[in-house]
Amino acid sequence: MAKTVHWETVELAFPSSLEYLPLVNAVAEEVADRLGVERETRDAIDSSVIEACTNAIEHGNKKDRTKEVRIRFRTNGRTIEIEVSDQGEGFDPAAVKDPRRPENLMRERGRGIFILRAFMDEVQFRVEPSRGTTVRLVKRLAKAASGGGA
Amino acid sequence: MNIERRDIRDVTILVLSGKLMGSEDAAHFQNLIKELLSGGRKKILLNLGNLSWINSTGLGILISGYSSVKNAGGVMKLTNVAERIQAVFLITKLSTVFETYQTEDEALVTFGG
Repeated sequence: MAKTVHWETVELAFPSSLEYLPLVNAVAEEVADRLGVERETRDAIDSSVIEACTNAIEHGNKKDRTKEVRIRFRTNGRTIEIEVSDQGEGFDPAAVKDPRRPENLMRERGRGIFILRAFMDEVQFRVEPSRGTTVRLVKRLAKAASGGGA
Repeated sequence: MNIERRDIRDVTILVLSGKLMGSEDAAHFQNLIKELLSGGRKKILLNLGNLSWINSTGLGILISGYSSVKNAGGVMKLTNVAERIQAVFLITKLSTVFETYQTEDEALVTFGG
């Protein structure tokens, strides 16, 4: 008999301003805490959510407060999927340079997408020129050891 | 982000707290660095112990400050970097740029006279 997998969803929409990032971070931390994941996984999720939303606010919606950023967390306890959508013009993710290369190391920008790829197991971009960009992040979850961890 | 300043001999310690994430933080931080450099304070230790998180914009702010200090012939080092932020430094290789110490005392002795 196949087991039913139960998915839970948390969604948030907010104006394109960096001042909403603390709210997004608080939601991400709460979602990660409820999953009981180890510290490293929790940090990876939190940092990735902040980067994806920073990207959507600054590069997607160009800080236009009349445009929304939407974030949706979906989890079944074993995997978490996070989608962040903006209403911007879109971009070419393949054109992003490796910020670790010596010639890019001291650049003040260009690390957001690299951070997503480093911390998450899957990162996919869906660019719809007239509607915006959605980045889908997937992390397979490692549970914290019982009795608390680092 | 809030910044608290302390001077110990010729080293200025800046304690950053809150979130380092955007353009307002950039102006605040850069103005303070400029003020220190123009006042001849060129040994700067950033204590990130009260910084709860940073985004890639915040990383850019730190790099900009580091470059300003270095170009003025000074030195900027870091201390008390939280695990979450250290992980970001490691994956972006910024850990090879910023000299980082666990405590203020450990960092202070490395500035020399």
